[in-house]
Amino acid sequence: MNFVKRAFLNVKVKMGRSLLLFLVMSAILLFVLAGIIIQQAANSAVSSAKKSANATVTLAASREQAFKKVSRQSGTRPKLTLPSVSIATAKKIASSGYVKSYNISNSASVNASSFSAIETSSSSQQGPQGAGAQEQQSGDITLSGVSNTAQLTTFSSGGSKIVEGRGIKASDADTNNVTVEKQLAKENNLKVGSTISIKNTSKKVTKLKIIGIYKASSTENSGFGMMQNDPSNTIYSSVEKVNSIKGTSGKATSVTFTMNNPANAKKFIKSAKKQLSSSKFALTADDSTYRSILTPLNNVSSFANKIVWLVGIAGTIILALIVILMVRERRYEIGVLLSLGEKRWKVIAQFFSELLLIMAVSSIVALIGGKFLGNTVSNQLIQQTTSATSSLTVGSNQNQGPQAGGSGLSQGQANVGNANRKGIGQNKQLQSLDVNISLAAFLKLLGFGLFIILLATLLGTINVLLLEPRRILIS
Amino acid sequence: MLKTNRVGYWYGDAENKLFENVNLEFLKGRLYSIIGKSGSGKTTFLSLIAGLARPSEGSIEFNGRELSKIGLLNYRKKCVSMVFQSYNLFSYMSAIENILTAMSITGSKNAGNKKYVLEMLDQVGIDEASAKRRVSRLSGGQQQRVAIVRTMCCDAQLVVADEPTGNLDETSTKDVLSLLQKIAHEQQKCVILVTHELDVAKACDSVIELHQKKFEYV
Ligand SMILES: Nc1ncnc2c1ncn2[C@@H]1O[C@H](COP(=O)(O)OP(=O)(O)OP(=O)(O)O)[C@@H](O)[C@H]1O
Ligand SMILES: [Mg+2]
Repeated sequence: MNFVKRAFLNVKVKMGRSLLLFLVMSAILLFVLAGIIIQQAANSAVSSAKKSANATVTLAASREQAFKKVSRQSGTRPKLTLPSVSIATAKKIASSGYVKSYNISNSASVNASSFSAIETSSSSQQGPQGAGAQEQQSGDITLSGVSNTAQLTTFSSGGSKIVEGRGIKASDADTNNVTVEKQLAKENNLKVGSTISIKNTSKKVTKLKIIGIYKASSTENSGFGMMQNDPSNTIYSSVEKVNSIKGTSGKATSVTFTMNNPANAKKFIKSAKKQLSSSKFALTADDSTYRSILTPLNNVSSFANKIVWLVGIAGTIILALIVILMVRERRYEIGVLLSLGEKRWKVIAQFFSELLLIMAVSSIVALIGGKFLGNTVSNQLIQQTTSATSSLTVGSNQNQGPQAGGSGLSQGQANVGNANRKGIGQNKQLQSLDVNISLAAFLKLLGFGLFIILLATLLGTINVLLLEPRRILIS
Repeated sequence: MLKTNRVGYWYGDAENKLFENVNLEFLKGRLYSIIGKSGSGKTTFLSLIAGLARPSEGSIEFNGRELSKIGLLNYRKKCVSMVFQSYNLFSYMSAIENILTAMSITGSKNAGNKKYVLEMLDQVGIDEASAKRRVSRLSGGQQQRVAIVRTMCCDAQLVVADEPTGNLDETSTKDVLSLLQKIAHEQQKCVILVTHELDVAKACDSVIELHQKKFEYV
C-alpha cells in the first residue's frame, strides 16, 4: 500500500478528525476565495474603467507664458496674444501609440449675415465689454472648428446631442458643412440642407450649408465663460473652414488627444513635450473621471489582497498546528513506517496527501459559499468606498472654487456640475461590480490552498524529519 | 549472518557506557534470546542491530557487509524485520492491509498477494473476517500474531523482537513463541528477542545475558 492509498484509508477511517480538518479547511478556503473573487472583480472593473473613462490631454497655448510676456512689456497697454497650435505638429504628436483619437479645434468670431443670432440679456450686456477686451470676439456668432463633433466632451458626455442630420466629421474638412443649434435654427426657420451666410471681421461673406442640428447642453457654455454670448450661437464647422474664414492656415486653438489607456496620460505628456520645442504651449491632462473611479476600486482590490494574505497566513498557522498535533498523536505509526524502511519524504507525502484530499472536498464547499460571501462583502465595501470618495470630490471642488477665483463664477459652477455627473456615473459602474467565480479564480484558489497545505505540512512534520525511529522501541 | 565487532554504546557521556567490546555472532535458522536487568541496555542493543541507531564504537556486519555500507534505511527495508511489545500496527488498517503495506514498503517478493497473506493469517488462527477488521478491534494476542505474520511475509532474514510476549497471557505467549520458533527453524531466518520471562528464554536456542556491560551466553 503506497502513501496515497494510506492517505485515502486514513482519511476514511479517521472520519472525526477528517471532518474537523474539513471544516477548518473550508473556512480558510472560503475566505481566500472571497478575497480572490473581490480582487478579480475589482481588477476587471479597473480595466473596464480604463476603457470607458476617457482621459484626454489638451494641447493649447500656455496662458501662463503669455501673461509673462504681457507683464514684461510694461508701459504699453497689456495685450494678450495667444499663439496658435500648428495642426501639422498636432498630427505628429497624435501619431503616438498612446493616442486613441484626437480632436483639433479652433474658433472664429463672425457675424450672422443671412440670419440673426439669439440675443439674451446677458449676451447683449457682455457683448460690448468683450469687444473692448478682445477685438477677435466682436461677432455675435462663434464659429467653432472641430475635426469631429462626436469627440467633443460636451457631446460624448451626453450634454449636447445631435437632434437632426449629423455632426461634423473628418470628411467635412474642406466643405462648407456646419451644424447649428436647435434654438438658432428654430428662430431663423433653418433646416438641414438650408444655406446660411456669415461675415468675417473684414466683412467678407461666406456661405455655409447646414448638415445637422444639435441641442446644446443646458448647463454647458462652451468654455468661454460669460464673455461668450448665448450657447445657441455656436456653429460647428471644420477646422479648415474656420482657418479660411480667419485668413490663416494650418492653425488651431487647441488639440485634444484622447488616450488609449487613461493610465498613460502622464507618459504621453512627457513624450509630447519633447516634440513641442516651444514652452509657449501647455499640455493639460483631464483624467479626473478615470481617477475618481480608480481610487475606490484600488481600495477594494488592495483590501481583497490583504484578506487573501491574512487568511493565507492565519490558515497556514492553524493547519500547521493541527498537523503538529496529528504528527504527535501518530508518532508510533510514523515510527513503524520508518522501521519498515519507508523514506521520510514519503511519510510526509502521506500527511500532505491526506490534507490534499480534504482540501479537494473543501474547495467545492468554498466554491458554493464563496460566491455568496464575495457578493456580500464586495457590496458592503463598495457602499463604503463610494460614499467616502463622493464626499472627497465635493471637498476638492470647494478647494477649486477660490483658486479659479476671478476667472469666472460660471466656470466654477460648471465644474461642480461636471463632478456631480461624474459621481453618478461612477456609482453606476461600481454598483455593478461583477462578482463571479471564474476558472482563473478557482485555479488561483487551488494554487493558494495547495501552497497553504504544503507549508503547513512542512512546518508540522519537521518533527518527522527529526524523529529517531528508535523512539518507537522505547515507548 | 549478523556479527558485532567490538561494539560499544553510550548515551551522551562516554564514561557511562551501557556496554562495550561486544563481539557476538548470530546465525540463521536459530532463535536467540537476550535477558538482563531492567535498564541494562537490552532495548538499546536491539536498536543497534535493527539499524535504528549507530553504535558509538565498533561496527556491525550483516552477511559480511557493514551496516554503514548497506545504509541503515536500506538495511531496515531489506534485511531486518521488527516485532514490538506494543504490536505497533497501523491502527486505521485491517490486519491484511497492515501486512500488505509492510510488504509493499519492503518490496517483498509476495507483495500484493492477498491470498498468500490470508493463508498466513489463517495459519496463526486469524480467519478472514478478523483479517478484514480494523486491527484496533482485535485482541492483544491477535494483534501480536498479526505483527509476527507481518514479519513472516516480509523477506527480511533477520527478525528482532523486543519483549514480544510482554503484554500477553500464557496461551498467547505460547502461540507467539511457537511462531517465532517456526520463523527460525522453518523459514531459516535469524530471530533475536529480548525477554524478561525465563520460560520464554528457555524455549530459545541460545540465551545471552547482558550483565555489567558484557554479553554472556548462559
Ligand atoms: N534516549 C536516551 N537518552 C538517554 N538515556 C537513555 C535513552 N534511552 C534509554 N536511556 C537509558 O539507557 C539505559 C538503557 O535503556 P534500555 O531501554 O536499553 O534498557 P532495557 O534493558 O531495555 O530496559 P527494560 O528491560 O526496562 O526495557 C536506561 O538507563 C535508560 O534510562
Ligand atoms: Mg527495553
